[in-house]
Amino acid sequence: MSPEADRPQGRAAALVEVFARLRKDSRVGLMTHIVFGYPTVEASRHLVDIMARSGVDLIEVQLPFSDPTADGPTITHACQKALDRGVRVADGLAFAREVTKKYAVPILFMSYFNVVFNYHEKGEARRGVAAFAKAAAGAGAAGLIIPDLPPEEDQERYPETCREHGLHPIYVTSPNVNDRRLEAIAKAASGFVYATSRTGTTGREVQIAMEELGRFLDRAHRLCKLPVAVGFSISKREQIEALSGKAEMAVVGSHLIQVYEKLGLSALEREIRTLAGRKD
Amino acid sequence: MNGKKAKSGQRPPVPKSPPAGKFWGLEELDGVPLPDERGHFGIYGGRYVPEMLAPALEELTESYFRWRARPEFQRELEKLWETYSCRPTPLYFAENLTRHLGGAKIYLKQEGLGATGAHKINHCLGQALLASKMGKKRLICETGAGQHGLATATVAARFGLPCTVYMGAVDMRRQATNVFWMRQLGATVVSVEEGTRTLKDAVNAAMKDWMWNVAETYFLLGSALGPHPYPAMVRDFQSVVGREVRAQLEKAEGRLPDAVIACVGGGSNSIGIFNEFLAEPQVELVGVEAGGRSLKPGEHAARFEGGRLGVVEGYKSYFLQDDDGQIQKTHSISAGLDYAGIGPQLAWLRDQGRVRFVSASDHEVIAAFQLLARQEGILSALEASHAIAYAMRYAPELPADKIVVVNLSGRGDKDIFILAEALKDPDWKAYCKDYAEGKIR
Ligand SMILES: Cc1ncc(COP(=O)(O)O)c(C=O)c1O
Repeated sequence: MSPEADRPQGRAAALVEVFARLRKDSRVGLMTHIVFGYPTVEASRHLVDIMARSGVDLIEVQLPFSDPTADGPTITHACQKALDRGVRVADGLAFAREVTKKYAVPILFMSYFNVVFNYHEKGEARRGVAAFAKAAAGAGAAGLIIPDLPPEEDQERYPETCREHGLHPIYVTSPNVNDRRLEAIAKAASGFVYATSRTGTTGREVQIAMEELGRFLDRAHRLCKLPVAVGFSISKREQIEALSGKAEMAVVGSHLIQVYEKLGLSALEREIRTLAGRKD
Repeated sequence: MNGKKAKSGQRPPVPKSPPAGKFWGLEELDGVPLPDERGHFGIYGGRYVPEMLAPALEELTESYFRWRARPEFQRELEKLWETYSCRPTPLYFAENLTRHLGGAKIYLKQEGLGATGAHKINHCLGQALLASKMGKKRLICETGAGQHGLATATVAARFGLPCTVYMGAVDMRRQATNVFWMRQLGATVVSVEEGTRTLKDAVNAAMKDWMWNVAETYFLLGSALGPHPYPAMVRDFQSVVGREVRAQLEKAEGRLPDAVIACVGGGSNSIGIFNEFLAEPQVELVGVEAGGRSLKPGEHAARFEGGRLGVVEGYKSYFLQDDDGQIQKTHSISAGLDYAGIGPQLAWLRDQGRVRFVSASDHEVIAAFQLLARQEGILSALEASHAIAYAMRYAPELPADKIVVVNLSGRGDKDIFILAEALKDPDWKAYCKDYAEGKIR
């Protein structure tokens, strides 16, 4: 394989550039999250539009799954509602194709492994990782976040297949994980590593133990040699600033759904701009 | 179909006694490990969980394999099984039923006579003992019918551990008596309002609790499924059922059974009774799934009738799911079989042609319940009545010198509301109404 073939191209390359730019600006980036189709597909359009215009660095588009084991009540409920309205995986892919044409900000798909494992093109019998990776890359995604696929479950060469299609396989790791597991992730991952700030599911506001988190992030950097994004219980600009020098990116998910549910779209826009550190 | 079935008329050889001290499930079949070191049964099983649960599952695996090998652990568990529950449970020759059906001899393995009324107590005692050895401070579990929750609440009380039971809101309504008993036993029962509000959602909720409390809490999973090591561990603790059947039938008939039939929810009672006979190809093994109202999607829980390969709740197996991989609604008259997935070892055994799967409809199940009650005076759980329903179909096809063993995984007391409703019993309805209105003192 030539060195060029190894180098990420297209959207995957754009994701690498995002982190290069953050390093240059010594700024902690912001990845915001939506549940595709919640509350409606039209709302998802508005949300991505706001996020792209507010200077968010990455957008995580969650394809709803019926049994989201890593998610707390806010996101679980959102997934359920989207599914109840009949949202399909193909709709999420079409949506991504649409928004990645419109905006430069890289998007990543987040879902659970069963969605990937069962994906197939209309009229094709073959299901699985390669079919999904091809479709996701075709839709302009820069990577996949699949929290229930650990590195040792080598399903259809998942990380290699992602890379062959120009996608970063993003792995989620947690503070209670030992070095051996982080090393396994280091072997499989590219783009960045998604570190949860704590154990537990998404979407509960708890005090993050910063010192402990700092030690874990050091470990993750040392062993994975990739940028690290921190998610779970992040809802304030100060928290993001506190990650400076410790992590490259902050991830905000459930909090934005809650703001949107309680206060609506324009409040959400203000919130995202605050989180992104925009003063204008 | 089981291609390895013995030719009819030929007597199976008298079985060897099980190897002394062998306490757990078969670990290899035809050179295939059951499971491999990472929990795979062929392509099935594994450990598909968020990373934060990996340390807990690694700790559990290591502890389990260490403790189970110790004779003192085995002795302690055997003593609990014998003195706290009821082991061995009887293997009963159902003479009336046999005569009535007119075919193979039917034996019933009476797991319903154990503590809490179902086989679930076997793996609950095993896991609670393990949890206490591991120094865990709290038990959590999921439950469908409430039988596993009841057994977990029971052992939690016995071991002095606080216990939280997750139960789908729909199941809490249809198994209200078990909810009452669990609370009497000191457990906190949490109503799960997400998704279909049944067993799968209770599994998710328990897993989420575990993510929050992973260091101190023991997740006492209720069937032979989920991430490694649960499928192997639950099977091991249930394998006592099959071990006893072999010895009991050897005593009664001097031979192995020709067929063993068990109902299959997640797979704990079935793999528990099958395990002993996996390496005896002349013994036919039949799993009975919940055929529900019909085999249309959403109306049953027969994974092998409409399911597809998937990866859900930590393991790879067959799941009832739509084209996108979203888990489908299931239905069964028995809450304990009302689940979209099936244990990974059973999926593998089906591929090998070693276990044959059939389904029984809600209607057949009610008829089976009634027949067993009238013929033998045994009230069987609706789950177990699925196995009886298939035995009613199958035994008459076999000659009288054949022997069929049915795993009667539970007793029927818990199902009084469902049965009374299904049988449209007017007196029971009137009683409930009067009772609710305070007319009965
Ligand atoms: C009496 C009884 N039998 C069978 C089952 C089904 O579970 P499994 O397939 O794990 O034995 C249950 C589950 O609650 C049960 O209560």
